[in-house]
Amino acid sequence: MSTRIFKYAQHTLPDPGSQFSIEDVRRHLAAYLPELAQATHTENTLPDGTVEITFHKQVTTKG
Amino acid sequence: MKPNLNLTLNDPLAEQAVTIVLHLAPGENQAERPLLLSLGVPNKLPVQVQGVFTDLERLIRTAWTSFGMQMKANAAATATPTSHPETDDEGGDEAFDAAVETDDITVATAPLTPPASTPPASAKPTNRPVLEQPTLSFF
Repeated sequence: MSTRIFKYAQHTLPDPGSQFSIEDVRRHLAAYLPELAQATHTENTLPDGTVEITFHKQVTTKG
Repeated sequence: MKPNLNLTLNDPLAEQAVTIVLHLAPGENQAERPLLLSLGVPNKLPVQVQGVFTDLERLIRTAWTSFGMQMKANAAATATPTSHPETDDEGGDEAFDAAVETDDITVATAPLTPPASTPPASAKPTNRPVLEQPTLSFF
């Protein structure tokens, strides 16, 4: 399995291991950063094969 | 010669509620199930450690110490702001990718604040077999 890195805002987070899913990582972070509870993510494969997973805050509009 | 001063150790997390989140990956043998542990306080990126279930107590202690040190460094940096021309205000990204290896854990330095003037001693990816030894990282 290829190496993963996780990104949120300006932070790059190391891969906790392939046995933990992207959702596992997001749920852990959401316990501390509530804005990630409804976050989405995108995946981008870098030239070296590393999969870059970026969490995005869910943007909602009133009205 | 001056007499030795009393050594006082303060837990930087003593005055705060600390949240610990555990996640156990599937596994037949409970003791050897991969464990992901996060430790931190609200609105700050937590410290994350990996290991196996049987090492839970040690993992908590490791994460507690590491996060406490981060908080202490954070407080010190806030108290005495210094200028680091090579780092911006939201810096620290490069430090997230670095790792310092110790005897039995790997510490990926990802400070909550811009790094101090000295960079990590060595850089090494944390892509290690989880079952062999716990790893620790700062979010």
